[in-house]
Amino acid sequence: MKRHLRIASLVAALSLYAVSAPTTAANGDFTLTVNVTPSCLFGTNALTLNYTSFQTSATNTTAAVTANCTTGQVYRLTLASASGSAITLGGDNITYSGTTVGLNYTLRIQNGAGDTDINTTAFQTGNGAVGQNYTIRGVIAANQEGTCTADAANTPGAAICATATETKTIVATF
Amino acid sequence: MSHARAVTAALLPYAVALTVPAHGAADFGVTVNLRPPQGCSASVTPTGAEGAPQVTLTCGANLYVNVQPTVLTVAAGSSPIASFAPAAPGVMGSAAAAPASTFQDVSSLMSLNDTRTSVGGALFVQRRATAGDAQGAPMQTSTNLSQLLVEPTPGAAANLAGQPVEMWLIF
Repeated sequence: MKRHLRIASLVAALSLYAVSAPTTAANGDFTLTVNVTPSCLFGTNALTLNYTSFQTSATNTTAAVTANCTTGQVYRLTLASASGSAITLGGDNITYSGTTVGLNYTLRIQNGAGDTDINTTAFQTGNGAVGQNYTIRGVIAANQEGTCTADAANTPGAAICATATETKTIVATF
Repeated sequence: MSHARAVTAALLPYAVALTVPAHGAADFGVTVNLRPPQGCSASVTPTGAEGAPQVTLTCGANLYVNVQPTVLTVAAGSSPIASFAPAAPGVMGSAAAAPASTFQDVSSLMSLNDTRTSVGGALFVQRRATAGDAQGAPMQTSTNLSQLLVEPTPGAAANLAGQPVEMWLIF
């Protein structure tokens, strides 16, 4: 009987405390801070350059790129030779020398239509989820010989005698 | 007690921070596919070390080609050389590589950028260094030696990159 009385008294005390507490805290102010760091997300496609030794016209191929950059963020585009490698802002074209197949090629960033070069010093403005279209244009100049892999089965005008894939990077800088 | 603590915590100040990379970057692959040429470029030297005209082929390193013969034009009114002059030992076109009655040394009949009248001869082009390479069949006529283009075709392998070759006229 005494135990039942002590439990009842404890429950009653807790009930009084719980009812009175929210009344004081409901008037407190707080500050909400949202820090947004700008970013660009790219959608890229592989670029394939087919070339025949000594061909008299250049190989000219494009690959589409989409960029979703933070709305209102001003950025510049450039190309890097590989992930994490140094970039250079201030030029129109990026030139690479193929190593495996002995061909020199250039890469350029162009607008979505692929008819105007984008200088790496030019500023772009992000438009968020809408996205912006760009073009990567790869060119191998005419009259290069290239280097086939050492294989006696290589035959003129026939199958591919050498192939190489290099990873390049498109970079947005703020 | 625990119920009251939860109500109080919900009303405290708080901050939200979104962390994303400082800039954007994405990789893409650039694939270069190389195919052997339909024809190799050739430069002609009228007189080679052994007195025969030479053609230097530029076909790219490790490009294996088989060479077909090309019909040669020679000076109008010139007579075919009656006797076969064997080349130096080890040079293509020697008696060991082909019958003596088949080949002629045409070095005295040839010059660069000199249009001549065809006499229907067939010019065979072969690599000098190795005897015994197979010869192809006559293929085409030309009115000017500067137009000479050695046409490679699929088949027997002979790495001719930068190799000097000798030309022989066959009647």
